[in-house]
Amino acid sequence: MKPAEVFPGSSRLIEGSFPRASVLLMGPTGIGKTIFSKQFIYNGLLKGETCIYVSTEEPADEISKSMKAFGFDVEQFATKGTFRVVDCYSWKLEKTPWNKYVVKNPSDLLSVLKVIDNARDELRDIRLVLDSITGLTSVCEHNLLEVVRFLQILVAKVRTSNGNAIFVAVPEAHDPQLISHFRLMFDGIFEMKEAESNRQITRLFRVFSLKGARHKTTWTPFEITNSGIELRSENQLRCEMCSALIEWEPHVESVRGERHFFDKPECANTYKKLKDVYGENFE
Amino acid sequence: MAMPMSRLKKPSQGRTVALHSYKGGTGKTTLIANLAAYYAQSGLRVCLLDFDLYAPSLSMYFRKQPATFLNSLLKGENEKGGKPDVSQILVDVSSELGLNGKLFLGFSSPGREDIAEIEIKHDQKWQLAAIRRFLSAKNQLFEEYEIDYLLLDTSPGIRYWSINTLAVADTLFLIMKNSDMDIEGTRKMTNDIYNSLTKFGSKYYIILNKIAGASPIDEFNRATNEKEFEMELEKSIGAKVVGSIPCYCDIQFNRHEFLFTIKKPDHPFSKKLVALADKINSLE
Repeated sequence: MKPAEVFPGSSRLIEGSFPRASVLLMGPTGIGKTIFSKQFIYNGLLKGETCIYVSTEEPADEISKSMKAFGFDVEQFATKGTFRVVDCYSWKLEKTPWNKYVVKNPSDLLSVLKVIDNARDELRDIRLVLDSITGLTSVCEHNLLEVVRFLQILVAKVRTSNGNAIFVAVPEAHDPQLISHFRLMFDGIFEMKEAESNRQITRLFRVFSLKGARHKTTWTPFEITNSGIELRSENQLRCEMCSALIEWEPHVESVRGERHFFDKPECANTYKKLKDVYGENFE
Repeated sequence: MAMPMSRLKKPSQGRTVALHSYKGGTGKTTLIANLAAYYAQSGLRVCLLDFDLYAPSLSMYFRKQPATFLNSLLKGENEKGGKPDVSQILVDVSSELGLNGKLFLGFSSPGREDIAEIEIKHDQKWQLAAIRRFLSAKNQLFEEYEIDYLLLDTSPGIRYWSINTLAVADTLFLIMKNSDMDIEGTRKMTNDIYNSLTKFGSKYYIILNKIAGASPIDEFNRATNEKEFEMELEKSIGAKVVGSIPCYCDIQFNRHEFLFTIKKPDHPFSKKLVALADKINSLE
């Protein structure tokens, strides 16, 4: 069956294979960054990768529950040990739930790194999500340079283990100078925002940059559905032969003096063959 | 299961191959079913669809009663997310046949109503929508099922859906018997239709089937005349002969021949078919 996408919509937005990268995902609170990240993790689990979810927002059991609500059933992967949650949330609670990877004091970034290292277990081809940088800085705000250094180390570790990672941040919660620092640190920047028109809110996503890959840079609308994030198509151009939505450049051919738009050359050839056989009856 | 040595290469991109003939009874279904099973046995991912919509026989050949026929897909009854969904018509026979690769089958309905519907009930607009659904399903087969070979059994002669099926394929094989009637009919058919297809990229070849000469007494002196005959045929039809398979009585008169190529790999028919399959695989 179809290989799982790296992140929601990646096959549409990225041409060719997805490069190994650490990406900064930015957007306002409630826009869908966490669901996006969970979907990214689930896609990795389906591919057999070991996935680590570093959460400052939810404890491990909440993460599994909320993922299940979107059809991302991670229990079997957690039992198998390929899904690992680094819990930077439960320190706030009086009673810490049992989890192998609990960070007792996330303001000590060295201890966060240590627990992540334990979860990484020197494995290669891992997937990692840090949700979120904003949550982490809220507990160690007094030393932002330390946060930057922590992120640099984590990005380097993901890179040496041939991994993919998403680091989530809410830009409004940070100093613009710090955001500039963040932008330089990562291999790619993904952005989410809301747009309002006719009293309707539309969620938008774009790949602002991604090293080593040709990608679309336009804002693409998306929806949060029962099965996670689904990108809508802004480009409604369809192939005149197979009716597929034309995602990239259309294949344009002139047939009997008229320009026609196709998804790929094979569609154009089928069209020309049928036109040649049936003549005007084929429209 | 013992298999003759294979030199098959995985096509760099999925290929769509149609088997066609001027007349019925040339052995298309037997050839295509055996080709499909051999490719799948060799480790490739294969899908065989019965596009002989006017006289389907694949479900009888495989003795299968699918829940959903190809006809439903063409009618637009099998859709998911606004697109035709081929998965609802596919029957995966890989494990029951013990194949090393994958073999998915799609059957068309032998029911009178369904055949009449395809034949006469609908107008040009409906038929065009049906072709679009088929093309969309074809994309799904290559993209989601990662099919190496999409094999299409077609209706004989020049009928609406035989032409449509041929137009969708990149390589066409004309199955012929060595009879004047078949040769003349095929020649006319290629002049009328095949030129439109080859102009836009299709390639076509001839496969001679049920050729006299498998009996121990070669009354027709086949070996001597074979080359000359094939050369004349190639000139007259305008395509190369890529295979010549003798008529074997034990296949011709078997009540239910079933995948000789994998069930009886030492049978001369199986050896001929493997040679043909390898030859088709080597064609660009």
